[in-house]
Amino acid sequence: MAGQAVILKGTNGAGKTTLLKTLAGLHPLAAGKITSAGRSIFIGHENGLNPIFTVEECLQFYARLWGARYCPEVLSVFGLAAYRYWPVVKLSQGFQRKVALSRLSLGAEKLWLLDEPTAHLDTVGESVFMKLLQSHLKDGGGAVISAHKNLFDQLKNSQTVQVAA
Amino acid sequence: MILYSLKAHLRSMTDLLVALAFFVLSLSFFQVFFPGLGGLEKTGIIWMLALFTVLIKGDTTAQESANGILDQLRLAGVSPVHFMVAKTISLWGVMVVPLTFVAAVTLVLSGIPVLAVGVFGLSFVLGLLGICLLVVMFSILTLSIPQAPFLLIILIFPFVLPVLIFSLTATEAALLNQPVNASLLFLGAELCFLAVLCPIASWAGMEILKE
Repeated sequence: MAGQAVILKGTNGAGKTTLLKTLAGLHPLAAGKITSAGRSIFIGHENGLNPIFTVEECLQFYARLWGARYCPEVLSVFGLAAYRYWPVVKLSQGFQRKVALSRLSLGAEKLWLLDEPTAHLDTVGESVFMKLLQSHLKDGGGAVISAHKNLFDQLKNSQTVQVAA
Repeated sequence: MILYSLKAHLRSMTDLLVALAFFVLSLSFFQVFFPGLGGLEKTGIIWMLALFTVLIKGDTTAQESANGILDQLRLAGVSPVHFMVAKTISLWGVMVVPLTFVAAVTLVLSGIPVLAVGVFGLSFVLGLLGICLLVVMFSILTLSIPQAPFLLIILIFPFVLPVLIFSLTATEAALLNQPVNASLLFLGAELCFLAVLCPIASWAGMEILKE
């Protein structure tokens, strides 16, 4: 699915998150096998941030964890440079989501698995994320995204999958 | 991972200070209101207070699970054993120095022979490592249970009792000028048992979480 995005849609409880977690390897498979050509990154409902750490420390932690090099420029993608020394706990939910999404710029993961990535984001944040996603797809990356919003309908090279319980 | 956990403990300084304040204040309470207690009773009280102090400080695994950090660690390939060992060493690292120092000073001021205090100190340092192993293990095993903090206290007691018994018998032997090797070896054996059991149990606990 290089250069393509799959948008998962469905009602609450349909199993979008479970499907994404299964693809990421966090849920066991009942049957079958999942193979992936490259490394994937998963960002779920929870942002995966330690609230007592600063924005920069959280991103540095993930860079180290995945063996990537941390560049401070990552902070400027979502306009977080002014908040680099802020503890995550002091940020609004929208900003916390921006910190989590900044992880997408840290490494070179080919497959993005994102669960409601634009939740809590303002319109500026949404457009920054869409640009980031389009650039990722243009570079040959792939994405599986669960979404309630129609934001992704405008996305080229995408197909929508309806998840039913 | 160890540095990350250690940093997380030191950042939540209020939790750490509350736990240490509980230990110091409770110990002072016993010193003031029960001055006639013998050396063995005092070490027993220190042990019980140390256990409660570690439980009050607690482990941060439950918060990390709720924040989604545990999922990210699993995806990054951090093994449950590695995670468990890092959490144990960091918890032990922040607790062992202040608790041992306060306990040793209290015993020396109470007129306990220095040799007995030394034996107690050694058993205390080893025993605290055992307690930290158990606290982290049960924190992982009870991650999916809402009433985990209460359950943790009940579950941990049967496993902690041998640590307390062998530590106290070693201190008693030192107070009576008898050989202490047997009790310390038993304590070491218990620690070896926990060092094998706890990582395996934590690995199993993490696997259950996937279901």
